[in-house]
Amino acid sequence: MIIPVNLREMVEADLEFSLEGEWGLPVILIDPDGNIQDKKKGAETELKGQILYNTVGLNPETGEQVVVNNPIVTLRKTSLERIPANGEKWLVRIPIVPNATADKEDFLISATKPLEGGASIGFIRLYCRRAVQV
Amino acid sequence: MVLYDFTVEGRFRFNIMMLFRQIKTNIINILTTAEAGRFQTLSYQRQGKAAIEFFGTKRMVEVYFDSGIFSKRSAAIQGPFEHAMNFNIELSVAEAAKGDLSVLLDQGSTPAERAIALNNFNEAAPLADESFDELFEIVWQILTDARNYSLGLDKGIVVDRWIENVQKNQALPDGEYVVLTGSMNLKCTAKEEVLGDPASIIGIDADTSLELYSEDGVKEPVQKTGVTQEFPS
Repeated sequence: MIIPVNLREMVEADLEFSLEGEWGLPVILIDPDGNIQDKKKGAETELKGQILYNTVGLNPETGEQVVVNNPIVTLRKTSLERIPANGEKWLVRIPIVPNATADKEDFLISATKPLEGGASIGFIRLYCRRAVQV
Repeated sequence: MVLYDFTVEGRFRFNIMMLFRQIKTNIINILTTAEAGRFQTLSYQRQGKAAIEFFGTKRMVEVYFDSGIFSKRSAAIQGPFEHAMNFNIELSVAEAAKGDLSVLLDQGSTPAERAIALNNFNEAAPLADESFDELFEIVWQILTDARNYSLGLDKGIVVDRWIENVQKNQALPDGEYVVLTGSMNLKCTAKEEVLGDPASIIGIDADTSLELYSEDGVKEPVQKTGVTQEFPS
């Protein structure tokens, strides 16, 4: 008996392993309404995502090399209570190093780089801007 | 025995650096003295720097000699030569988003309080833009101050001094900071002496008065030579 399989659903389901599985790191979000999301939607487990850290940038005007920490957080959309939209201010708390128990750092979602992740790919990628106490 | 009383009137300068190097050092000293925790001054171009090194009030001012033009003088064999100098001053700022994190991180705060705090956060890009403008204004005011007209040298050595232009580059939005760089240049003119390498002869123009006394102490008529005298270093 052949069971029909929706490949798109399978790809989306695989995100649970690729983004939230053994490579996942805890992420805490605070949405524009002040609601904290630190649990996966519909579950009691930590909200997790893929976090990439460093980038070496180039100043296009001068060609000068500028080293910046460039956290990029990728989250599975179906794990989120509310999905960030362009133009919104969200706080993102992530570990400072790829270790779930490390100290957390605070970032705002970058207002100058659009969010990546259309509805068809099942995940959203957040580019983070460091947030400091005024 | 003939006695000689030899006096020389003139202006002496026993430095061994060309003026453009002295002026560069003086510009850096002037800026360093005026920092007041608002920026940091470097005496060279950084080839690559981390954004956190010039974040906030650690914004960076890099001063270096960029170019110079020497005017041709038909009578100039041993100088001095008029040197139109150009100093580049690179400005670098980096900013992060700023707001009240204490409310956001407070476990006891309400969603409404957190929403207000989040909404009041200032984005990094406009902060970087403002920081750059402020830094340029500070540096411009310091270097064009009348008290610094001579750029640390004796009055009259620097003929003129002005800041010709300022250029702000595109803000880099990548990474956790927004990085904004730019440059301004300071031009000045002064006369460079030919010192030789190693500096051994300093040619000066001097009026010389040679007082001669005969053996019996009678002073001979004063003779002025008015020729250039060379003095070994």
